[in-house]
This record gives sequence, structure tokens and C-alpha cells, in this order.
Amino acid sequence: MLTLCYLVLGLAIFVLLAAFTQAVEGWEQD
Amino acid sequence: MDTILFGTLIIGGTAVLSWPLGRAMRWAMEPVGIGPVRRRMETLFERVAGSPARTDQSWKQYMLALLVFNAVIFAISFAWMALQQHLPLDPDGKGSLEGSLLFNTAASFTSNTNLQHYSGEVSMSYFSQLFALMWLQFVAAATGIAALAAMARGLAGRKEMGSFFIDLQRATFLVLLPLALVFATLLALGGVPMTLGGAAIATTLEGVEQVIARGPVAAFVAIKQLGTNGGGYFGPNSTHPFENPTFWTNALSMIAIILVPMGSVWMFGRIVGRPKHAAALFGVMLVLLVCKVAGAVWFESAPTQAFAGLPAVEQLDGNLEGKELRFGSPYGSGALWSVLTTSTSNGSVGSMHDSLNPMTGLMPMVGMWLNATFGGVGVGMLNMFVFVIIAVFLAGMMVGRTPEYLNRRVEAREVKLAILAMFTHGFFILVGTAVFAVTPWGQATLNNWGPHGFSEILYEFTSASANNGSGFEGLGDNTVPWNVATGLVMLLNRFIPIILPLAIAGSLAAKRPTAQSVGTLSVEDTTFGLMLLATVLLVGALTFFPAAALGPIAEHLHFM
Repeated sequence: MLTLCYLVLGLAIFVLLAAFTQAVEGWEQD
Repeated sequence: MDTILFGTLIIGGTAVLSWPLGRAMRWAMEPVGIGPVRRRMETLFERVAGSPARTDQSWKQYMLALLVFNAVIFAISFAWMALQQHLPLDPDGKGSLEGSLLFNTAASFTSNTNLQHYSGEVSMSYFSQLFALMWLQFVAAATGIAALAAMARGLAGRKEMGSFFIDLQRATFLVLLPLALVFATLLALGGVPMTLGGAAIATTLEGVEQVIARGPVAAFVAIKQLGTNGGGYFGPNSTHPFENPTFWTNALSMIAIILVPMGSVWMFGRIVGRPKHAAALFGVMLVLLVCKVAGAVWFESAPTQAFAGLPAVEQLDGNLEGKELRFGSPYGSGALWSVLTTSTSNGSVGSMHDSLNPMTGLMPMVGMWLNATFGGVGVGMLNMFVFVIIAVFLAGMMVGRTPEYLNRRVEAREVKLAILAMFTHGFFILVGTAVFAVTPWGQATLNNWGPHGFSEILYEFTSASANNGSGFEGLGDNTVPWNVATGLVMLLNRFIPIILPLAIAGSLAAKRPTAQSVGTLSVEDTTFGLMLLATVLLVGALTFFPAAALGPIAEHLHFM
């Protein structure tokens, strides 16, 4: 179970990075 | 004298080899004016990528494709290692790894870091070594080359930066795989094992049974070095006689460490159509690299303080502690290797970095702090591009003109993104070090106190943030706090420094080209090179000097 939590943590980082990419594009259009 | 000649041959010889390699990398990544055979390869790559991925992507689409692919390979490698006891190719019956170590290892190999908190020969089955780790050493490195090709296309003025999935195949099959085949063959000829047989059992002269780990080592070591991965098949990495048996494999490994990062600079210059600009960047990187090597050799020529005062111990050939004397001069596997491997985000080790003299130990740290003196495969050039934007901005402010780079105006938006890219690297290293230096997370894992212990913590976060993966060692780093903290730093600081340069390139590509005039700052001459050099040194010193003063510099002064 704990092992699965670590897998989810890693995948959550990628989601965060994708959101960051979207945000950076938003800054470009400011 | 031998050391100077050896270093000159390794660095100079590889610099010469990198020129044709850069040309070949451009041929692989930017297929313009290609022949029928290459055209057929391109058709195959397009078919494999599938119809949605075949079309050219904007910087954001390219980046999202890159992130999705890396999330998938993270999950796959995590699953392979978690389930290795149920998978084939496990003749020695290796079990599963602990959860936080799995997270750290998958993050480490996905991010091209290869920081190893486990010992390969003890923990990993052949299946995990080949299909969870070695496979990632190809695709993680290919991700870096693809990102650089995309950025270069943006700087050449193209709003569409190509297709990530096609670039990934080009970098894997046309750049890394052929090079790895050549180097693996040469390593196997040099005595590096290449077998899928289980561990060898030997009986010593004393009658004791000894289990000798082996495996497909030559294949693993070739891509480990060429892809600036650095993760060893064995725990002791390139100090292990099966990974690096002779003087020749040692020299070959050092060439492989810096070859593709050097070639990446020439590839960038060819894609943007400014080879002279690439030469200026190459020159700045080379000067910084040579300065670090010279500094490391100089400081390592002093005997180690660990033996000071011991009777009957003579140290006439510098600091011999932690060195592999099988390769001749201790500087070859010690000072020279330590600088090459940390300047290029490789991270394989040819000696024990913890045993380097304090100021010698500073040189690898400087390499990772700057992370652009050739740097990682592809991404080193991305990091140098961030320094270029800052240098161009500073030069523009000095003469009172709007800064320009490759005929595009560099404005507030690009400079803010560049500063953010620069800030994140320092943030992860300094904040991580500070937290672990004052809490049991770091203190309880130290084997040394005082400045040296601080250096161990500083080095670990530096290595993780720079996606280097080398260890200073002397640190019990296989703990949950270390595994989680460095895992997070590796993932975040792998992709943020790719996202931001691509965003800058996308932003520049969207602008109208400016006409070149006598007032335009040349990015191809010595003045630009000196300006860039000063910027790199200034930014690096302002960010990291206080931490260096608390670690290696304080330790050096302590012994004076």
C-alpha cells in the first residue's frame, strides 16, 4: 500500500509540472 | 607532466571528435536534404509515433508530450522494480525494494540523474537492470537531446518545434544506440563482462566459497557514460574492476562522458544556423572545464590530511586516499574524472569523492552548481542558454539598447523566465541543504561532523538538483527522508529547466525578427564570450559562495 503511495507521489509531480507548463504559457500572454 | 598530457589528450581529443558528432546529430535530429535511406527511417519513425504525434507541436504541446512520456516511463520502471521477484531474468533471487527507495530509483533514472541509494549487484535482478534501468538510460538521455533540438528550432524562428515522439526515436536510434553499440563492443574487448549467466562461484585458496556478481555490464556501462547517466551496474561504479578494468577502459570511459554533451553544442549551432555562435559557447564551456580540471589537479597534489603526522607514511604523489592506482597516475581516475563527471551531469565515479582534499571536492560541486560546462546530454546546452539570456540582458543594459538574441528582442518576459530557471537550481540545493543540516534527517546520517559533514549534505542535494547522481558518500543516504527529498528534487529540477528554456524559445519564435545593425550585439565574437564567462562566474558565485564557505573552504582553512 505504501509502495503505491510512492508511485502516486511520483505521478503527482508530473501533473504538477504539466500545470506549471500551462501556467508559464499564461505568463507569456500577460 | 603525464597528467597534463593525459588530460589534454582526453579533453582535446574528445573536443575534436565532437565536431563530426555534432554534424551527425544534426543529420539525425533535423532531417533536411536527406537521402532515400534516411527518408525511409523517417517514415518508419512517423508510423511508430502514430498520426496524432506526427504533426509539429508548439512549445507547450511538445513539453506536455515530453512530460506524459516521462510519467509513463517512471510508472513502468517503478512497476518493473517493484515486481522483479515475479519477473524473468532473476537467477540470484533478488526481492523487491522498499517503497521510498523504489520512488527514489525510478525518479533518479527517469530524470537522467542515476543517483543510487541502492547497490546494483545486491538489489537488482537482470530484468530490472536491463528493462527498468538501462532502458531508461537511453530514453532519459534521448529526452534531453530532443528538448535541445526543439529549443534550437524555436530559436531558428520556427513556432512549431517538431514532434517529441519522432525526436525521441531519432535521438535513441540514430544517436545513442549506434554510439552505445560501438562503446559496448570496445569495453567488452577491454575485459568488461557481458553475460546473462548468474553470479560466478569461486573457491579461494583458503577454501572459502566466494560469490562474484557479474552480468550484462558492458552494455550497461556504455550508455551509462554516453548518456550522462552515471548509474553503475555495481555499487562502487567505475572503481569496480568489472566496470573499468584497465587504463584503456578508463580513458574510453572519460571520452564517453564528455563526447555527447560536447557534440550537443555543435548540433545546436547547426540547427539554429549559427555555427560561430556555437563555437563561442563551446569556447566558454571549455575554458571553465579546463579551469576546474587545473584547480582539481593542483589541490589534489597536496597529501591528504588524514595521514598527516603518521610515522613512516610518505606521500610524494599527492593525495592517494580513495584512488584507483590500477590506472597509473592517481589524477586520471581522481581529479580529472571527478571534474569531467560532474561538469557533464554524468555522475559515474572513478574515485571516492569523499576522500578528495577539501578544495578539490569543491571543483565537482562548482561543476554541478553551474551545470552548463557542457552539462547533461542536450540539457547542458539548455542551461547555458539561460546564462546567455541573462548575459545578453546585462550587455543590453550596459549600452542602453534593447537586448537582442539571434535577431529577436529579449524583453522582460524572457528575462523573468530565465531568472526563474536559475533560481530553482539554487533554491533546491540551498533550502534542501539547510533543512537537512539542522534536522536529524541529515544529522543522523552523517559519518563526519563539521564542515566535511556539511559538504556531504550540500553535495547530495547539489548532485540531485543538477541531475548528476554522483555521491560524495560518507552519508547513510538510504533513508526515507533522503529518498523522498532527493527524489522530489530530481524530478522537479529535471523538468523545470526544460520547461522554461522551451518557453523562452517559444516566446522568441513568436516575435518578428529584427534587422541586424552595427549596434547589434554580436554573439559570435570574443567580447560576447568574455561577457558570458563573467555572467556565469558572477551568478554562480553570488548564489553558491556562502554555502561553499561553510563547507569545503572552511574545511580547507581548518587544516592550514
